[in-house]
Formats: sequence, C-alpha cells, structure tokens
Amino acid sequence: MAIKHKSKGVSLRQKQGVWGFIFLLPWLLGFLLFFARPMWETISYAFSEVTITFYGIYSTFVGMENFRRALFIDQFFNMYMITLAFPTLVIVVIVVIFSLLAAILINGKYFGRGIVRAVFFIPIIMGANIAVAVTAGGDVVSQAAGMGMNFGGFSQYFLIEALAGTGMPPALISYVLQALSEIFSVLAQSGVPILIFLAGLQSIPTSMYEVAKIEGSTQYETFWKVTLPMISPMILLSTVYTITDLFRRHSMAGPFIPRVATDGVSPVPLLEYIRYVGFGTHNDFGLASAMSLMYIVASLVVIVVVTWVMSKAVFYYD
Amino acid sequence: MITVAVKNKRNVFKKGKDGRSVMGSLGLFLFLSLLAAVFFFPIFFMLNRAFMPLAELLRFPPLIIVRNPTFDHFFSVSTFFNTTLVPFTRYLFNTAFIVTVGVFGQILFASMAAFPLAKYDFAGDSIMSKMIVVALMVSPAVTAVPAYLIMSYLRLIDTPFAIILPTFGATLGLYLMKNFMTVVPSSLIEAAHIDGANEFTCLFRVVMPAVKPAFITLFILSFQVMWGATGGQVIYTEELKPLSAALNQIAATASIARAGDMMVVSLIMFIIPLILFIFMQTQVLETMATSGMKE
Repeated sequence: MAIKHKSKGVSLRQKQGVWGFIFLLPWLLGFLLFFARPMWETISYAFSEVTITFYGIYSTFVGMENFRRALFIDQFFNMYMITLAFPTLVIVVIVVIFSLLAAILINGKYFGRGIVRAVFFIPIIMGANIAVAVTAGGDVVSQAAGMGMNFGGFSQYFLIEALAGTGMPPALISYVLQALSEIFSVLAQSGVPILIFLAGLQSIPTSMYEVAKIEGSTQYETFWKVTLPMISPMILLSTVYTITDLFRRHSMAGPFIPRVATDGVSPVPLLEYIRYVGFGTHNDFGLASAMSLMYIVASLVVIVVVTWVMSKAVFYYD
Repeated sequence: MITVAVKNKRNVFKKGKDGRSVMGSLGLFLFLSLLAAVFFFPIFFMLNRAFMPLAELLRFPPLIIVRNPTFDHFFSVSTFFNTTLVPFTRYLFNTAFIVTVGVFGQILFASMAAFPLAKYDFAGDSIMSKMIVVALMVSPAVTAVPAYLIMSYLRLIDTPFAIILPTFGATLGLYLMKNFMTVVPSSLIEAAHIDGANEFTCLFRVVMPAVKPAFITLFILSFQVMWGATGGQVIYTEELKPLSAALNQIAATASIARAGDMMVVSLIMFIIPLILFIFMQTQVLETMATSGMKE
C-alpha cells in the first residue's frame, strides 16, 4: 500500500486506521463481550476466594493463595503440567505431516480421485465433529459420531483377536495396538489442518508450476522448491492450530493426552480435572481459575517458542 | 486449470521420471490403501450398526457387518418425533435459523475484521493480532461462567442468539481468514483502489474471491459448530431447541435397549454434513488460484 490517495487531508495510515476500525468493529464487539470480559472475570477469580450462592457469586481477594495451592498442595496439577509439552509436540509433528500428505492427495488430479477425495474427506468431518464437542460444550451426538467413543474398543478387540491368532507375542500386540490408537487420534486431529492445507494448495499460482515444468524440474523437485515454500505459512498456521487444539481439548481420549484420576477410578485429561475442581464436589472456582490460567500461560509459551522458531523458515510470497 | 499434483496416485503406476522404483510405488500404493481403509472404517462401522437388529448389536464377539438388516431403529426414531410435544419441523426450523444466521454472520464479521489486520497498517494492529493467538488458546470452559452471566444480563439466555452471537466474536475464523488474506498480493488491492474501489468493494469484490478456499473452509467449520450445537446450557424452552438437542435426548438417554437408535442418531448427525461437504469440496478444490496478477 505505497500509493497515496490525494486531497483528503488525512494520511494513508490514518485513513487505513479509520477503515480498519470500522471493519473490525462488529467482531471486536463480540470479542470484548463474549471473550475479553469473561476472561477478565476469570483472571480476577483466580486471585480470589470464590463462593457461589443462590443469590450470586461473591469473591474476596486472596492474592496468590490459589496459585500456591495449585502448585504446592494439589496432588495432580504439577505432574500434569510437567508431562504436558513433549507428547503434545510429538503428535503435532505427526498430525501436520499427515495432513499435508492427505491434502496433497485430495488436491491431486488423477484417475479415481473421486473415491480418494471422498475417503480422505472423512477425517475433516470427524475432526470438526470433535471440535464441535469442545466448542459447544460437549454434546453426546457428535462425540458418538466422532471417533474413539464407540468403535475404538471394537477395533481393538478385533485386532487383539486377529493378532493373537497369528501367534504374535503379547508384548508386540500391545505395541501394535498403541500404534493403531495413535492413528485414530491423529486422524481425529487432522481435519482442520487438512482443510487449511487444501486451501493453501489452492492458492498457489498455477503459473509457478508451469514455470517449474518448463524448466524441466521433476515432481520431486517441484514439491521441495515450489509447493513446500509456498505452503510454509500454512504449515505454521496448522501447527499453531494443532497445538492450541490439543491444549484446549478436554474431552478427547487419546494415548498422547496424559490423564489424572479424580476419584481414583476414571482417569481424565487435565482440563476435565480443572472442571471437576471448579464445578465438582470441591466447587472451588477460584482454584480452578488459577489452574486454567497457568495452563493457558504454559501453552502460550509453547506457541510463542514454536512460532518464533518456525517463522524463521516461513516464506511469504508478496 | 493445470494443477500439478505432486506425489499423486498416478505416479504409482508410472515409473521412471521421478525415479521411484516399482517396488517403492507398490509400497506407497499399499500404504495409501491401508490409510484409506482406516479412514473409511468408522463410516462403514456406523452404517452397518445402524441397520443391525438389537440381537446382533449386542452380540459379544461384536459384529462389523450386518447379517439381517432392519429399519427398526429408523422407525423407532421417527416414532419418537411423532410423540414429542414439539413437532419435528420446529426443531428443523430452529436448526436452519441458527445455522444460516450463525454461519453467514461469522464469515462476514471474520473476513471484515481480518482484512484490515492482514493488509492495513494502523495503530494497534500488531497487538490485536497477538491477542487473537492468545484467545485461540483459551478453552471455552474457562470463560463459561462469566460468559453466561453476561448473556443473562443481555437477556440472551433462552433465545437462539445465545448460540449465535458468541460465535461472531470467535477467533478461529478470524485467524484463518487473516492468514489467507496476508498471502493475497497487496498490488491487487492497490490496483482496485486506483480504479476507484472503496473499501467494501475492495474486500468483497477483490479480496474475498481471492481467498475463496479459505472462506469455504470457514463455512465448513462453522457449519459443523452450528449443526452440532445443542444449546444445552443456554436454551431451556423446548420450542427453541435445535434438532441436535432433540436427537441428543435420544442419544443421551440411550440405554442398552436403545443402542440401535443411538447409532441411527449418530448416522443422521454425521451423514448430513458429509453430503453437504462432498458437494462443497468442489468449491474448495475447483477455485481459481491467486490469479489476476501479471508481473
């Protein structure tokens, strides 16, 4: 935007500022009302002793007490925070590579691609369905329609039968089962990244491929020299999305999601545990707020580090 | 349109040019077939179980393929809707309203907000962009209680807008649109400005067509959220509940005896988006790339 508009008496920056504000306004209103204000309340609860009564919510300021309790008294919180980062990063790498591969397959033009597209489109809906369960507050239907809930057990059962039938040692069977359940959780996670990559692949100018072809580049070279640099902003985008998705997820099952036991019987992911602290028998909303705040900060640190490292390699064509 | 598909299936049968051996190609083909089988399994599973009679559903070495297909569970679900207080069409109307207003509103507001953040330079735009990433991290559960209190204060509780309005301030769509708009060449927008286009024309006639894959993507995601939202915590009046809430009542109360109904409900919830998206995906895939530029 280097060209100046004449005779308005305002600078381009001011003019853009005014228009930017007008365009941002509707979204900003929603954001402030339904996100920023509630977030502020949650932060203030984190520093307070909160009592919920029939007549309303009362809070008294207690300083860092909630954070102290979460870190030094609560028995599960620490353990989870420590074991959080590494498994998340492993699954993120797998998901991103897998979704790029799937997107390329969907995007390609070849014999029988209709079938390939239809099949590879399934996780998009599956994944989005699970995302729905998270955003819309966990509804049973989409969870049931999603993966893991109702057929994970069955597929494992069949595999155990089939593998035991071949006389495979039990240790190896459990390893195969682990790998399989990882496939399902990768599948469930990769819906949105696949869509992001698809849209990204579509935005690559075809002229670039024509040039590459004319210059005699092989498809292998074209992938590394054209597709990958052009899609690199989308790799960053889907990495950030996958990380946030993994951190936000509170009802997803999966081998990579560490779990803690609330009542000593059923293990749940941390966010479920935080919900249990806030709304369960403890009903300690202040402590739950402090925990989720620390959780957000921790995940933010991971995002910032990953984005910083990756942005070194991202190529913007403009 | 010439799309060069890198690593596509055609390569599997063609050796030489890309230097892949026949065995390597065969291996890739087998790997992809296996992957496709894994992808397809859940749908196959769901389809078969929706048609199974109860006796087959509850067998212990569980069955995957139906032996005596039956429509019993479909009839049972339709009977449920015949006996409900609120007619089926009312649920359908509620869902249609929520989906239409919610999806289009979200796309409109997200792209309007994304445009200046991606392409303009004004005070506070970088802070705003950072805030969006922060907001992405926050699980809705974290802000659920204060958000409810605010909606209650605005008298939105027990109206469809309690589901719709919060999504207008959602950050995922904005983040997605912003990232794609950053890739649109600035010279296109400059050219539009020089030709006398105002900001709205610029956004809706120049930028939006260029990011068509992105907003179709947002459409799909947003549709999923709206289609699946039951409004469980915010809508109490039965007449205002969406279809998913009604289906949820069947699924949530499904005991062993209603396991078949549960599968039918899952199938309905799953198959309608699937049909829509198989139709929509041609829109994501057959679109013009960032053309219109001649260097």
